[in-house]
Amino acid sequence: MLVFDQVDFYYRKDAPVLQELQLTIRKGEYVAVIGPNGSGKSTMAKLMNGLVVPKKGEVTCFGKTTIKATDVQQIRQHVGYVFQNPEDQFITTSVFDEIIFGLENIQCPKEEMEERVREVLSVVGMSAYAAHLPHQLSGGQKQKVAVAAVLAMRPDFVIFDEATSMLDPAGREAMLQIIDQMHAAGITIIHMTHHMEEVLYAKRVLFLHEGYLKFDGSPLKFFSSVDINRYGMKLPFIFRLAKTLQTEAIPVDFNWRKLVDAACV
Amino acid sequence: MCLTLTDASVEIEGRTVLQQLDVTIELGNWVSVIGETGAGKSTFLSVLKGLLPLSGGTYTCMGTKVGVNQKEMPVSIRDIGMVFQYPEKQLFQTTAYKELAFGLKQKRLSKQEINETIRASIQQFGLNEAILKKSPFELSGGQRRRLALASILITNPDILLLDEPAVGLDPKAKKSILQFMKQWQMKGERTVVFISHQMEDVMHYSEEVIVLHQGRMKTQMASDTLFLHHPELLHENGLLLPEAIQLLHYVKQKTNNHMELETASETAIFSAVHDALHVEEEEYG
Repeated sequence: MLVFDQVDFYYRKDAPVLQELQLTIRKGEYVAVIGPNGSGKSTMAKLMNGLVVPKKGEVTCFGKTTIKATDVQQIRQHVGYVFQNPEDQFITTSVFDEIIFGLENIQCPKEEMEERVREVLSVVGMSAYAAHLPHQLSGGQKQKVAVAAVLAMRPDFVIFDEATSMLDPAGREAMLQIIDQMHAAGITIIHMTHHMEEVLYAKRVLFLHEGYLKFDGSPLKFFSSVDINRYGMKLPFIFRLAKTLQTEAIPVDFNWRKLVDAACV
Repeated sequence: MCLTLTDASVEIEGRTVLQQLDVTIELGNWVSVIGETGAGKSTFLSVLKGLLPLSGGTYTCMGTKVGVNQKEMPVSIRDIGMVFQYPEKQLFQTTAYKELAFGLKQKRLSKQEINETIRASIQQFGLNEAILKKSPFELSGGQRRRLALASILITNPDILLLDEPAVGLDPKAKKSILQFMKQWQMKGERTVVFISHQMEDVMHYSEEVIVLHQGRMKTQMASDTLFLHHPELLHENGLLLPEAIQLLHYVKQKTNNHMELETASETAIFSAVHDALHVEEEEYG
């Protein structure tokens, strides 16, 4: 369980980034976090694994607090982080070593390492690339390696910090499928994104605006009840189509073809 | 006047990245370049700017052949502006003012001319005078991106090459930057060559589209024609169709209605779908 208890954060005192953040994310959830640039999404992600610590309040993960340095080490074994630009986290010269590096950091037993690498590369469909240089891979492949490196640590929570924004549509689709598989395997997903269509994959939406949590609920409720145009966001395609077809009966799987089928009857 | 590549190929470290391209970009249009990752889009832009030499074929920029070294670069190529991905990463001056002045200095403008140009144009870039004394690093992400774009636009290029200029921005900032670029292009009858993975943006802003696949040009076509009449060309080259186009074809199939459209825009498609499905007029808001 990840808990934000009345958290305030700022880099400069006169410019608060997050204020009075109160929320709990339970194991197994799939949460999308949305909000304009500067709304505090990335800071929230950094608070979750102790990259920054609250100025007020507390962030805890399974009862451990990010304020204590000794606890942070343990928290990071539970909370994985996938960045927007995977190159930001590559430091070795092969895909294999990249994944091993993270395992060495968590003192994974040596005899277990190779098996874990093989397992995670297979999950992300990159088994054939173990000997490749990470920097020579395509954007989508790099991001898959970054995910594999995080998965190898067997985290309970994985934060995707705009991890699909640099990918082409095929790469994005593949990444969303991997995220879905991870969720089905019991991993808690926290997906920060600007893409409203991606929000529909989640079960819960957190909407941040100017440092405050403005909405916490299901995607259906969010897009049906919040005037998101006011915040410069665009409704997902199916909601725009539903307006045109004058219907509020949005299918639970958000498949717009079902709206057309219903209108054809 | 135009940019013309004839039988153009590019090799990088022994690998062929572009192969036998025959492309002509007429001036005054918004031309989008699309293709899967690794199709050669960014290399294509670098060739147009003269940053990469051809290993075969020719490149003619506004009537002058482009050579392989600096001395053989036509003057006209200097008037092509180029904005890389994440342009704010290239900001290097201590203030926003100096950042905007940098390109103008290269054009040998006097101090007074530089000052007047910056003050006269700052607002049209969606920025204000208050930011001029600030360090670029004190600005918000959206402001930094605008500053980086403005530092190129202020030199008033006739042709602008944009490599995913809106990636990583929130929807509001993205729309605002792309709309601004579109107005800038249309008002001055300038040329924009635009790379994007977002098919909705490509459909919305382009007059023409070039499809690349594994370094080869697969098609160059008017945007409306490509999206409305030849969506299979996108599909065949590993690209996803915009959802509005998928909707149009799905409704055509379902209703046996031809739904002839002239413009590939979501508004036009929704309106046609509304009519084809006989949604009650009085209920349509």
